[in-house]
Amino acid sequence: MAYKTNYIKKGDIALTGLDPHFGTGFIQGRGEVITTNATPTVIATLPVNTTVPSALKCMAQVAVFKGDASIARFSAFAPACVYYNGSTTSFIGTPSSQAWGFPSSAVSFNYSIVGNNLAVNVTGLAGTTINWVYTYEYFSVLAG
Amino acid sequence: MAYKTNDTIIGDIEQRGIITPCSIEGTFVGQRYVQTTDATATTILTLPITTSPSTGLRFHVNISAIKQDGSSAAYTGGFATATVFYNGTSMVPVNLVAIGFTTTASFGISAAFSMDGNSLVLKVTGLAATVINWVASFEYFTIKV
Repeated sequence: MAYKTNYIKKGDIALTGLDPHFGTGFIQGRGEVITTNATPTVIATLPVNTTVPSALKCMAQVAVFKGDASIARFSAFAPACVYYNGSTTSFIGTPSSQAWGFPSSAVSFNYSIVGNNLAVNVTGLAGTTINWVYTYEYFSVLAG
Repeated sequence: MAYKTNDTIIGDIEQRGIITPCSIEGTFVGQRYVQTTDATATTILTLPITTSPSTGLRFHVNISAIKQDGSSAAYTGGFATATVFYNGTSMVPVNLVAIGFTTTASFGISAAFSMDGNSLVLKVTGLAATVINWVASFEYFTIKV
């Protein structure tokens, strides 16, 4: 099955018109990626505001289609929140890690912290083409 | 909906494939903020719901909060949802979920849905003698008879 690589435009939609008091906007994004191995692939890197202590909340979901069209799955929205305390960024609680019934538990998406960024990662299967489509939305609240 | 003010409704999500005429009027996205200084329940959002024609509304929200001094933060773990409709006589809350927070240590805040007349209300409750900044990002759509 041909994968419509141009069908979904990758990128963020920043909703404008917001008074930025306490927050940094409400941003929605979506995109797609193709994995051919079991190496985690970063699909989104969301910068945490470090000018003051802050918290960033993200909700992401993915849909996957095995390249031979034999398997398709959709995840639920998976929440995560990271907190910058003025010196380091860490998770509040345990971020959700979704495995949604794909026949191999090795297929997953999850969150990680890279520096002061929240990264959303997907991991496919070795020697297997998997098409991923993902959406996410996030916003922040600032101290001070 | 009568809720389109510049500081609350900050964009519409494009819908595709909707056949007109239809009984929905779009998906609305918005964000509100408030600062609390005590443990009094404080309204962060009031969303009037159309009664003529009778309207059903599906609403979900994400909330994050942080102490002004940056020492603690919290978030709602998933979408907190509320579903209400007007039955021609009164507003019926079908499902106003209990809102839970995941927090850093010792940050006992809360939020809750309620009804006020024909409006869906979202309130947040902070801590006594503590300044807390709150942001609520929400989406909703409606269906009409």
